[in-house]
Amino acid sequence: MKSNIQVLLCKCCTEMPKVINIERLAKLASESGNVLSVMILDGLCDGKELGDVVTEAKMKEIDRAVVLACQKKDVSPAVFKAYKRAGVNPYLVEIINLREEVVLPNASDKDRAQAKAENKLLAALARSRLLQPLERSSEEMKTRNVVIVGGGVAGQAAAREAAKYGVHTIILEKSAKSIIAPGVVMPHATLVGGKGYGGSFELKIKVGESFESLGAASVVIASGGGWTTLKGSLAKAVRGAMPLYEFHQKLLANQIPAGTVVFMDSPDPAGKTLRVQDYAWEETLETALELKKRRPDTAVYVIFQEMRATGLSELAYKEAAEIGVAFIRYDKGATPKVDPKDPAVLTVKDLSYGEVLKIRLGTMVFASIPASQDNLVIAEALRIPMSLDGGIRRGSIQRGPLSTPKPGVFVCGSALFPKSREVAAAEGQAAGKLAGEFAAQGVIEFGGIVAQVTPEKCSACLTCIRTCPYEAPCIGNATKAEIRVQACQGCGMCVGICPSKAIELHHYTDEQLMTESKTLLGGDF
Amino acid sequence: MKPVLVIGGGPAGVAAAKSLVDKGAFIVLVEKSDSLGGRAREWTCKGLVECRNCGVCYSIDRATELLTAPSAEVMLLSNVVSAQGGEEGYSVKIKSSPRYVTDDCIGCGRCVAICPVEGKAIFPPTGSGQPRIHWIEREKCLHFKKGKCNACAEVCPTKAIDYEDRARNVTRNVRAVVYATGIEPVEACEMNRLGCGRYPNVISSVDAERVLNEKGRLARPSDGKPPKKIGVVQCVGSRSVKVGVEYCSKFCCKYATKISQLLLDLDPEINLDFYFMDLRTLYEPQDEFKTWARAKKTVKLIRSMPAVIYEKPGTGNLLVRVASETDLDIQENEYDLVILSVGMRPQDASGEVARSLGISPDQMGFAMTSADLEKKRVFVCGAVTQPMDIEESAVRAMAIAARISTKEGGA
Repeated sequence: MKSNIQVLLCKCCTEMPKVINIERLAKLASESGNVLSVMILDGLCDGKELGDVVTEAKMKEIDRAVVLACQKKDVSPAVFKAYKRAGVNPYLVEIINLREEVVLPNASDKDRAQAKAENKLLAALARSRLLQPLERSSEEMKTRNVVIVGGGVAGQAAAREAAKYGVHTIILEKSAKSIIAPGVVMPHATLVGGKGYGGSFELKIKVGESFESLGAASVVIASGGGWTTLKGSLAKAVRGAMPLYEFHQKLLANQIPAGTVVFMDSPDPAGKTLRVQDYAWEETLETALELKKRRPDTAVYVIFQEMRATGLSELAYKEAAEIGVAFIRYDKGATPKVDPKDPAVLTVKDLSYGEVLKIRLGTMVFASIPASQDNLVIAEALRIPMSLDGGIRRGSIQRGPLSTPKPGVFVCGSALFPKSREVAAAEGQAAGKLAGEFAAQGVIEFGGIVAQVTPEKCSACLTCIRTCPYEAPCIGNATKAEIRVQACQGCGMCVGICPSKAIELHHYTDEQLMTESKTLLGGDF
Repeated sequence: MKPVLVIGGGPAGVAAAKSLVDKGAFIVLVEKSDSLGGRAREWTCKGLVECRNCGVCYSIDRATELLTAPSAEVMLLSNVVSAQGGEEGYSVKIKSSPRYVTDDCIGCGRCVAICPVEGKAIFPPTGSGQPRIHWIEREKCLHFKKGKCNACAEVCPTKAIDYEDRARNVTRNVRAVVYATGIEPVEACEMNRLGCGRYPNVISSVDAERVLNEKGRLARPSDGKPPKKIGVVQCVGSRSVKVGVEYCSKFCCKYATKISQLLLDLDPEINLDFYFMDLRTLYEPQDEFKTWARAKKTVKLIRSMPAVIYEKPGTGNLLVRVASETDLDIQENEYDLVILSVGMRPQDASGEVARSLGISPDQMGFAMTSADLEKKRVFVCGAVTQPMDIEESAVRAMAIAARISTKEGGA
């Protein structure tokens, strides 16, 4: 394969020439091997000079390019489009962020900036010579099912929304409650296992006592929160403990026993898993207010480590303080204790005043809303990460809100952390839209930067299979590991961990990386 | 089918518009400033080492996508003048101010450099706003004042300056309205005891974000030196009866903690003191930032609100007077730079257009949304309804986009 490199140097309008000598960079580039064309451009971002670039690339039969410009996402769409016209494989276009990596940080030291820019240019050229063209391919989805785990507020909203995209929605609901939603509703059904990748999941579900398998294009997790669960050492030790949800129901029914009411953030205050999210505080404050309004004579305490009354619930906080709810902040090092001999007396050290208070309890309410117990099984089935406190962990916002690290799996409602009905419904709608859109595409695109096994080196030790978060590797017919390219996301974890160095990541091979870093560090050593 | 009008081009507006466009709807987006992206334009990406999930890129990326969508009509520097109608649709009058710069602009900045007006009359788009096209402010421009300056037109390499550009009044018939005018920061100088406006080295969090976004580094405004000791003060202007912002602005803790982490990533030798009342980091478990701060020897979390900030004469350094957390000793701590995390208040929640659409503000000034309003096909979304961050705005905007199509029987 020939390697004819074109180098584009973008002046980023007027910013670059102020710090670095573009002409010297251009000269350096043109003197390097394989470089057939060097162009200096005023501004790449608008794409107006790219016509000339395409003409030049076609004329000189360019097949790879190094572009020194600014932030990738500002320039990349236009540049990739232009090189596509010139017949250059997009994986052979290297974009170096000269503006933010060299010019801005070294604006005061021009010599250093110049040296760094030259170094980066040479490294990019060295890497570019070794790159191989890659192609992406696509596959028809086998199913149009959108499986929604949980039939609560969020799950129902998700089903209604996803159904608009012409997909089949299937709700797995663990209880027998009636659900009005389009598509199929399976009562007494839980998700217990699964394999596959976005667009083609094979889920294992438990319906009643029997196990069934179910194909799915995308999955929405709406497992909700453990509203009625009460766990933790303090909850066991104290008399009259109840979760917030139960207390609220009883308050509305006027069944609260007389005596002091203490609201506390978590029944496990010294533990790591303090799941007291903003919504729990909002509810706590509203409940405390309601209680104080119904029974002005009752003494009401709120004991907390961190008062997270965010947004407009700050107003409830203020109002509660004004009508005589006592707020006590304690430290994680000195958590409230119950006298073992008399489980109705709570001892707490107030941080604001430094006093130790003894409170005789009537009812003790815990605001913390633990995550659903089912999350562990769901997360293991779909192989997605969980947060410290037992919820499903959301993915990076760059993938969009409500996403998980696994493409095709979306999460909404209290499965992330406790939410009000309104927010859960909104999230359900949004997640339903995303899952519906995903399934309605009908095709999965994959390939490009993926891992590949060299079968001769593989000893089938299963390390890659255990490591991969996307279930891409499997043992093939030749009892050697194989990578299912449809599932591979190109993260490179298997490459790093393989004990026999049998796996290679396209576009980031050892040779490419080592050559690049050696050049960056100033040549051979 | 008639288009949907989206008022406001911030995170909520662009997310709603993008979701609608994805569903095949036509939209008209009216944004009063020069570019799309809203507040997120001036905010910086907080991820130097790893993504910190601040969400700024999310709204900028959606704005970029929206600009290339053929079914989206984006009107910048425009205002909705009036809106009339009801359930069956609205007739909306929109006034677009002239930009005087055409799409040929490549954003090279030569025109800004050469503009003879003090404080300039031609501007680049705000922060990382999209599209990257400059614009001229007519009131300041000498060409319109005196009729003889053509400096920018002469220097422009693509002949993008168009002095003949005219204001346009257009009418659009729309089937629904998405109202997402967002929030604006409280002027930090309303709290004058903290020295904002008086001392150059006291800056607001909005300024800090803007400088970090544009330059990548913070410098002391007084002498341009990199700050080595920084104080971050939370809840300036919010949770304050005096300023009238009694609520908590919700996302300031999230952004201030992430900015602090970014500053430490940029320069690990910075000493940073973080003054706060309650630590309300959204989404993250509350211990996460505390654990991070404990691991860094140079970061101190102080649960106390500074009483007053004043300058140490001759140095430009600032003295922050604060009661200590445990006992009631008064301390004075010296800093190179102080960042005040300012609160936010709703923007345009009341006013003629809002009134004619039937939107009314609540006691705190946020726009109230209701089922009745949605029946009339007016959807209020984003931070104008209550304080919320970019991520929540985006989620709610998507949900609202879902509801709009429902009522048209799918689109």
